[in-house]
Amino acid sequence: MARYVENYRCAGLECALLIPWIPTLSSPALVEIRDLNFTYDKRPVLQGINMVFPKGKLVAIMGLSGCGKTTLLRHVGGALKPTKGYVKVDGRVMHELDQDGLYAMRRKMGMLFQFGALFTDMSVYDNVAFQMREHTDLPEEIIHDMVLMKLHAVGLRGTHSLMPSELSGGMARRVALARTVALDPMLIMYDEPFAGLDPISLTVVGDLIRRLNDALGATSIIVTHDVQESLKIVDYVYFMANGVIEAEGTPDEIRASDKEFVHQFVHGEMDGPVPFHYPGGDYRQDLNLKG
Amino acid sequence: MPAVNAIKGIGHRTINAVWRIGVATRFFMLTLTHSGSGFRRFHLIIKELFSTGVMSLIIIIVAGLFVGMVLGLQGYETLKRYGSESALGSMVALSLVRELGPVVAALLFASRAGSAMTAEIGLMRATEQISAMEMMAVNPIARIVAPRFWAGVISMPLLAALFSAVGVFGGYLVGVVQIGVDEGSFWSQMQAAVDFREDYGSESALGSMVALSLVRELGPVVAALLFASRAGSAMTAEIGLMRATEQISAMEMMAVNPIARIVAPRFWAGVISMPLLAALFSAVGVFGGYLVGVVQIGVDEGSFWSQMQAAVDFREDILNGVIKSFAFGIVVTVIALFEGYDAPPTAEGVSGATTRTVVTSSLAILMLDFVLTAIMFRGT
Repeated sequence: MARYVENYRCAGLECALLIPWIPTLSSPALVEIRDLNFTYDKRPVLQGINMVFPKGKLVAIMGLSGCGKTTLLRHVGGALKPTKGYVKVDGRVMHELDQDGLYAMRRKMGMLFQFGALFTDMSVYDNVAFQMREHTDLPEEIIHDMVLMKLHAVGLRGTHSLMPSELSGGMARRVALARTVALDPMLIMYDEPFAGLDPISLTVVGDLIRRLNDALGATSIIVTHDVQESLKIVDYVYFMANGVIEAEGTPDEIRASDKEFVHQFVHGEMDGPVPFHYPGGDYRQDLNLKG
Repeated sequence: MPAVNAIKGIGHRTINAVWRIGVATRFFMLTLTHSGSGFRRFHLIIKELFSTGVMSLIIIIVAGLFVGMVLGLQGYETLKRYGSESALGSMVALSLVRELGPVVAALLFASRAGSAMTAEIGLMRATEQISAMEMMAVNPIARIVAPRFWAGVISMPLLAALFSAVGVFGGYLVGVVQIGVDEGSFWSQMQAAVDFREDYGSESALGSMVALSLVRELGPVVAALLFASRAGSAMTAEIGLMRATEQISAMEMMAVNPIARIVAPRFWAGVISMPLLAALFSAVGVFGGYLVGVVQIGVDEGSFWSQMQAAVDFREDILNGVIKSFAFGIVVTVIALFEGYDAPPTAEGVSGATTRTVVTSSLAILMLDFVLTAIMFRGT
């Protein structure tokens, strides 16, 4: 953590405005989740979630597959309506916005999808230029410069004429990252940004997430189950299991946590609160053993 | 309680079908209301016109040519029985313009452009491109669906017209250039074609017309086209996905030959079911002709059936039709299996292979149909 603070906190103009990193997260909240409940097909997916995402911070939501973290992210993006409770972004309750209000809000958000979700029928350049062309009347020369600057920021200016199918997995993720921040969003959401990356790409993407957040003065939410990589870069962690928050804290607190579940998760242990065996009937009975 | 379960099942499926119709209708209305931006930025529609319309040109032109040539052969054979070979031009033109042009062009369009659209948009959803667009505050109905819809609406009639025009030329090639029907009467009768039905004056021959065209031509060909789009594309997609998810490699590593285990059973299933489906198609088609001709229009029932029995020869017509559909079954299944087995192991690769299956097998069906028809008539 300290490395990132030293390297990036004072990299740009924003450094004077940046609130120093405080473990208690006392800076004003950009995203606020209060008593969020979501039920799908009578199955409770999220139960009584309370979270705060302060401005300028990089916050991770961790948990096993199927614990509801992607569902939570979709609530922040306004793609799902809560059964109870609310998500407030920049002072507005997401599920009370109409279509126009929602779209206006989404212009100020960016989301990086699990495998990038680059438009396969457009070149790298057109992918990054997509939102600029859809949402602004900027002349093509300015779009050109902006696109190349965004691509340069992720180190891929040289790929602008390639198609997404010609990129490696790590490069595609970085192009998608450039597209996500194309309009300098105030809130960036990452859905499993580390899934399926090789070790080098993993470090590069993690590093970019931290640097872009600080350079843009944005707020970032990372949904991930990659413990080691995300603990290196984030300011705060929420742990989720079965739709509720199990634990929360700074990376150091999480590493030192003596909670059984957190310990098993962080150290990748086989057995613990999350059992190795899926619940089943009596083993002897299943094998038709007598006696 | 199997009976109760069966009734439950029927009810469930019916409700589901009605529900889907409702959802599709809402989707259609949404598409219409979001068409504005497509027309304001017309280059979006132009781009889709290229990928739906222009990319379908080859299959439409080649298919039209062969359908016209077959019509020339078949029409000549049928008209000779009534001694009115000179009506060949009007026969070819009428069947093309009224019926085959729109219908076969639409079938080919559905298999070429329609399936490609479904696969493209489906893949966009699967890879979260549509969610990404929504998160970028761009409406996917307006940006993705509406331009494709209008491209289809614009290109379909143009393609059907082109199909008919090329088909008439094909009929001319076979009828006039090859068989030697008088060129003047070919074109002049075609121009006077509105009077064709009165000139012909043989409504009682309806039964034989319906049965002959179904058994000899439409049965095998249309059934094979439908078979290619329904079963052939499914086979390609299934085997392609097996390869993409490394199921075929896994089978090879388990020392089981995938050709023997996966490909061969599907091949024989296709070869056996194709002629049966074609026969069923013709039988139901004859019944349909009876319903409209006899029950609704009022052609004499006795002459409908007796003329049909007199005109349709078992060996020459029915057997030839069966032989045709056997050949189609072999060709369609082999193409489908090969494309699936050979597909690049990605989602895009599989969807591309599926489209290629339908396109290649449709063209193969229509070409083979012409060749087989020519051989069979030479034989008699």
